[in-house]
Amino acid sequence: MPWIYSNKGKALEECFLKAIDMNCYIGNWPFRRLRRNSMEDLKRIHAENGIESGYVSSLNSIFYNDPYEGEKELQEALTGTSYQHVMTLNPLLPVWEQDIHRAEKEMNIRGIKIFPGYHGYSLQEKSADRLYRALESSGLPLFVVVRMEDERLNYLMTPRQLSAEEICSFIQKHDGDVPIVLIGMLAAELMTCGDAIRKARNVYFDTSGLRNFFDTENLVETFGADKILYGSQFPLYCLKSSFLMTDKARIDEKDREKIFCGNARRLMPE
Amino acid sequence: MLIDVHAHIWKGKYEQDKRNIVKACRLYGISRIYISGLGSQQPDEQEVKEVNAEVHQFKKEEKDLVRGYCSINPANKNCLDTLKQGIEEYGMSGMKLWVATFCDDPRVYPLIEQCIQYDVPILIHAFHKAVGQLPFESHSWNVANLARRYPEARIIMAHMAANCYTGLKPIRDLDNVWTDFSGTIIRGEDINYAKETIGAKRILYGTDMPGASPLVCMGQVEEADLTPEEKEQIFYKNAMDLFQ
Repeated sequence: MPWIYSNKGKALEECFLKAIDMNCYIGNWPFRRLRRNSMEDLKRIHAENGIESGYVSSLNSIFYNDPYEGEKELQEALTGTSYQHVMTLNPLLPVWEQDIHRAEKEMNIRGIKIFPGYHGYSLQEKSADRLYRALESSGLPLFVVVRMEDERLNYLMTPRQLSAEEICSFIQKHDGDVPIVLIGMLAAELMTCGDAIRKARNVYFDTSGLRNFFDTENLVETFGADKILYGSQFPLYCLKSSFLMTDKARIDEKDREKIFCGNARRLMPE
Repeated sequence: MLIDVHAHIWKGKYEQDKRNIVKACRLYGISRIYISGLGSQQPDEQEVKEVNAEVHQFKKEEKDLVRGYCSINPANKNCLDTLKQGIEEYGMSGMKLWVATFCDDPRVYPLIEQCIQYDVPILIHAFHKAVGQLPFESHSWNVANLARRYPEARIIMAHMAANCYTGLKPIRDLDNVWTDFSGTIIRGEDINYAKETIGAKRILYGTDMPGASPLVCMGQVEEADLTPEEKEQIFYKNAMDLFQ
């Protein structure tokens, strides 16, 4: 049997803090059948991989006319679990500020997630800036989704691709107290935005876009482990793939612990 | 045991690719790897000769680990001679077709007939893209056309043709076509869909190194709804049967 059949890697067995998945979902995806997309499915696959908890968003909310309906569904699913709610928001819709205030009261949301590619706006537009400013008072982190799936596969709908220029510009303009978590960026894209990411004290990125030879090792070397958060993009992506990219990376064990859980705990205090 | 049926040495990057591939194989337990040489999309005779010579060199340097595919541009006049040199002189294990022509182009037919004579598999790049499709990049239906014409040929359709939902149905009833899921597409359900559509016996583990990490494809097998026997089939048994 190859070693790969073991469920947990060395890092997690030694780490008294279990891993946290900063980028996961439940719900339906309009373009294909998901066989494991419920809260129970998420909890099960996390447990199988030694992942203690996660920051969950609703796939449904991305496509609902009123995303808040999806947030209520998600809240129901999260009740009684240790998982945290990350709210999907479209800043082009009316009274989104009210939705945030309402969700803070009703749902104990722990972050705001935006999908400019699917909702049809640029990070350089005023709406994105207004959202960032609104979060300055709430302290909620902003999760910026750069991609949900490989663009080459999106033949039924073509989400707008975020350019490196707009990501860098957004980061540079918003070097403040609101944490910005970039979701789904490829290692090459992160390198392209390298200067902006390195200089910004409030910018992090997740691991769901890492797929190439020694990506994790290279990114730790380039950015340091402090900016990297484990995120799976489950159930759209294979969780085990992203997990192995961190778990089997040839990096210092302290850096691995930061990626799997340390940075998340620092960024998202209880 | 792990057998990787799909990896590359890129022209001009021999030392770097060799070093990284060997390192990854040692780290992640890959005991055999099938390599082809790639360069430009329309390589001339000289370029094809060079990349095949590099694969041959890699084979000689890593005898226990590396096997080779002979890369072919069917548009080159000497392509049959190139195949002959690859199989007979270099001892390569199969033929590789990339994006120089569609795989069901009539210029490919004599090459397939020769591979049938040699009794070696043919690895065919296939990719159905929403953006960036190359002019002569084969789709799964091109592979299916070829497989129907030559039922004796043993064909590996690479990458599950990128989008498994359009890629696998055209080959579903063609038992002479296997597929690998090498590359950077790591959708969570692709292996389950592939098993349901063509069965685990026709799925092969491949990585596309150095273009992708072996870990992402390992994770896909680990996470799929497969029995331990089916995992072993995909990780190495199917490849052993195919390359016997």
